Amino acid sequence: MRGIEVKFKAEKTRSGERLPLVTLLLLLAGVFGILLFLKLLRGVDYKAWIVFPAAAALCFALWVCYARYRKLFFVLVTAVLLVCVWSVTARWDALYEQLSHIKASLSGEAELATESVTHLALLLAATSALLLFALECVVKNHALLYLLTSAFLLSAPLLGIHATVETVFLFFLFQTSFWAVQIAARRGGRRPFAPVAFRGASRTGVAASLAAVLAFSVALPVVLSFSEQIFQSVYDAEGFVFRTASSLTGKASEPITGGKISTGNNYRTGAEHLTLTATGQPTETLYLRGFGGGEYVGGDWIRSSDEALFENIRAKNAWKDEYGSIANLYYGMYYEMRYAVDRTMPEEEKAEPIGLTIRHSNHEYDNAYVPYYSERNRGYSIFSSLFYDPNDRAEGYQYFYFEQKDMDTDWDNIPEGFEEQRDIYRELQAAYIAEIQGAYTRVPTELLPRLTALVEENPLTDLSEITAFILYTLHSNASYSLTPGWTAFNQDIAEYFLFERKEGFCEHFALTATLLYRLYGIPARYATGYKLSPSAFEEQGNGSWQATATDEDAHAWVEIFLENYGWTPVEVTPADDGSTVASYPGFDGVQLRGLWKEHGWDVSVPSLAETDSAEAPGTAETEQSDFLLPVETDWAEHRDLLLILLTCLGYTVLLTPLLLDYRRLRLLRKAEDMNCRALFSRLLKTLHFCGVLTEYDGTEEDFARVLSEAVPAVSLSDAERLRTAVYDAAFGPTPPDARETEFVRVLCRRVAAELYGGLSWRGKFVFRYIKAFG
Amino acid sequence: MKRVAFLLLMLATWYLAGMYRSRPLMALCAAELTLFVLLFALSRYFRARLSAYFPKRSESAEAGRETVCRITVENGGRFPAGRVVLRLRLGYQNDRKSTKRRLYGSSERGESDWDVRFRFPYCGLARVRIDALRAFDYLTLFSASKALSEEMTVAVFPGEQTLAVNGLAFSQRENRLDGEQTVSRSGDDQHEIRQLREYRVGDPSRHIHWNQSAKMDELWIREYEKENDATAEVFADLTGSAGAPQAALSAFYTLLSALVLGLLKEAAAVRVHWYGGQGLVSKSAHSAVECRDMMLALYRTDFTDAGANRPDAQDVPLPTCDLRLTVSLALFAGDTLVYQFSPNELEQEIKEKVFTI
Repeated sequence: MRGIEVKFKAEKTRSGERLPLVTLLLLLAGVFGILLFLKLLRGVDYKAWIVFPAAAALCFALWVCYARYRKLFFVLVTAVLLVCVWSVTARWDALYEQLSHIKASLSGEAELATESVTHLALLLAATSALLLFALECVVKNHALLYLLTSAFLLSAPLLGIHATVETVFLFFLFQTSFWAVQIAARRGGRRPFAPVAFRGASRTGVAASLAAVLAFSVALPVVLSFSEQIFQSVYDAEGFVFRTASSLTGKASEPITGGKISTGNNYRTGAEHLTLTATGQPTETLYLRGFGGGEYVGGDWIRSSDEALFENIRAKNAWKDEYGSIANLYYGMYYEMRYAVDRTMPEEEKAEPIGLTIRHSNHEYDNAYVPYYSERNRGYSIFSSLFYDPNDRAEGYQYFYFEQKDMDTDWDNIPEGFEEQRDIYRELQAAYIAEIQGAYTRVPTELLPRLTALVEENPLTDLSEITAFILYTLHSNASYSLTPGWTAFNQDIAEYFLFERKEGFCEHFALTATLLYRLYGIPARYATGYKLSPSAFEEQGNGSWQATATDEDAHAWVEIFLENYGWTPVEVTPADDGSTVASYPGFDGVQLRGLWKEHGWDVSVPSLAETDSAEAPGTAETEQSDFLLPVETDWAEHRDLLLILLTCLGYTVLLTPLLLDYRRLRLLRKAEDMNCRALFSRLLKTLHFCGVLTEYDGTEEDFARVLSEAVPAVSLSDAERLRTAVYDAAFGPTPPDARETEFVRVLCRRVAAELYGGLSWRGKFVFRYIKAFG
Repeated sequence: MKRVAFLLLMLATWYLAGMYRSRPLMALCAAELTLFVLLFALSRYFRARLSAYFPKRSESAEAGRETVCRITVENGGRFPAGRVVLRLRLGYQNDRKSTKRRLYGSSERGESDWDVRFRFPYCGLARVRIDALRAFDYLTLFSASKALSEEMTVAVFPGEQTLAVNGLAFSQRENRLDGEQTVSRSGDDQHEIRQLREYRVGDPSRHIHWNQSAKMDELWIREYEKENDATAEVFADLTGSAGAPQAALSAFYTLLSALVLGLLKEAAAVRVHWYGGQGLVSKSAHSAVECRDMMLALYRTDFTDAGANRPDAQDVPLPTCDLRLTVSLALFAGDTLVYQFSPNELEQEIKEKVFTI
């Protein structure tokens, strides 16, 4: 059965009614947003006073032509395209350079000199204006542009581009308001849509724009006031998801291995990783090293391996095989030396090595966690019964180690009979130091231009000074946070941490410090594992001391090589209170502060210049406490915007005569379509504006006579005829025919021309361009 | 779907803004959230301020042809509304089946007129009802609907087709049905002869002018002046109309209209009788306009009661008319079946058939 068909009456609209003025403004918002986005790229600049007005002029021309002169529209588009093609072919070399510069900027090349890309910006303005106009006004497809602009905005931080408020606002206005306009102006399709009047779409667009402006005006102060709390809400949510997923998959209890630097946040679950049993209470912070970084490959460390170094030592030094395995000698060297020296010392001065048993909670022993200055116990010692469960003998592994304070071994004062061994150790140490100078000072400088430049700008040779400078650089510019956020994909994590984000946790501090040490020529390794304070150990009933290492104890640090100590950890991550706790034999806090003072390094003042991001965490607290401050400080950043606005204002002033003339012609054209009554009403307004017959409203008996008297260009007969035509239009059985209407129209023109001559210059301006009477 | 996509985009913005500590992006997310809430409130606001009605509650239309009816959407609010969707329920009076259609549009402040084109396939009394109004926000993320009960009646008439019926002799009659008159009557002398013409196939034999035919050696026919007050009587037999599909009723109406218009070419008036809810109904038509009035009266008959008032049910004889037309499209002259029309070929049959009774 056929149903009842329902559809809308076919609309008859003039082509010009399809584009309300608000579409032009929204189009400008979109194009300006794209151009501002280009300006956000690092090292990219262009002459805004040329590009923005040119974009505005093109948008205006497109809009006017499409709305009023459809035939000219296609000519204009063709002309613009031809000019674009010509400019590309004629200046290809310059354009290619500019494109390469933008590509370099997008790929995150750090040392990028600022270059003007005005030519490219003009091309972008033209193409984006054409594209946006075509999609929004011709094809009427907003979804694609919505997604495209969203992709622009969301991909910006991933590429290290810091979107500004004005760019975001323009895109937001473009996205939401054009969406509303398209919905209001939608017609046709499979669904029956009521024809939309020009005014309807226009008003809906304006209302939606106002709603968007209102929403942004409300949102911006709230975000500026509570940004830290809002950011924290993101981290809380992500942390919850991460912890839940880690617990469900069992990854939470896996001990940390590997040298991949985290590019995100650090969420801890408190899951148990290691169980440590010590024969005595440690008095120093215990570092258990599970990974040592050998070579840095951009965000990741390749595990260090000394085997190659030992082979080199063997080859270069004609190592005597009777000395035994170099590896065996080297790894136990410092412990053995200390142990040997202890033999000569009185009982009360002897350092007692601590026996430490390490058990992995996941019962997997692919990776070992080694204390510094230690030697692995491969058999069962007399202490075994203290920390080995008879039923669980196979579980775990054991080290004996000396604490750092006990490692001040005097290699010249050793027991008799141990000299030969000492000499071998010395020979080995010297050979090892020579090898690590090459192996553990390598840095991919091409990835780290800013760090390299920093070191070059601050030449230092003394280890203590270098350490002091590194700590000063790190602690004055970056703060500790477990939720520093993500890293831009196109930048190295170390540089991004120090120069852009200025927030991070132990991995980022240790990574940057290691690289700085190496750039200064100091052999250094990035180490990860666990860090346990003495208070973490609790005495057990059998006299042993036990501690549990969780993922909260996971840590990263730097290790440097000290003669007679070997690899020694250096704590470069600030303490919870932000203080610096780094110390190693020969370097302590007193010395550190002395060096800072000596060099005038004030750790409370950032040593590096602020970047575009201006998102330093230190400012966050200020913003919370003083709402207006960020707005004031942002003025400098928005200088370009002000310049653009001023330029646009200047161009607007220059173009005002043209705009006024266009408006006048448009209103006059409207008058051509007026009926008799509307024309008469307009005539009365004209007369009253010129101060003629102000007391008359046209209904008076003697109106024709006084009109002919007041305006000599109108004869009495013409005035009578006018009155008759208007009377017929208002009260007659049939409206006046086209001939009579045309007569009224011509008469109106004649009256306007007559009255115009008698006006002052100001009156003429208002008469002509504001009222558009003639 | 759109709302989910918007929320997902907002969520992505929130997440990325947080991960990169970007205040402008977080402001964007917050603005989207604010707008989201604002749009929700706007949809409720528009629902409260919008209404729709038919400025004319009754219209007429021709079956199968488009007719424009106006719906006025009134926006009493201070802002132009986003999208407005009206849900229409369309059906015929005596047909329980109805269809739903949706109309989409927007509404400015004040009143907006929607000129809607309807095409009714069947004759009868159609009802167009605005069931519900759904108001959307500017981005069509939210909507809020409210029930309406605005109704418009559309009398859908058949086209101007006429059924060619010749040969009926009409007598001067009282405006009554006495059951004595017959359809087949000889041409009487009261009728003035307009002209004589040659015989054509189908001409009644009783109009043959035998004298002239004898003289000219071929058959000649007397053509009479149309009777000024002659009235054709047609009985519309609605037996079986209750529960009949609208298509069948539409065919019946079409045929009846064509019959009446065809008879009006022969007679000054056509009086149609049928049994409705109030008993026997008689309506006369002297012109095509009056024919429509008659049809409208027939449309308004409650067919469910028609059966209860049938004369056979009350043991009352059927009124005696020139012609009787049943809902099953059977045309009778008296008790004689003249022709059984086919619903599928009705248009063609009306156009081509010539009945001489």
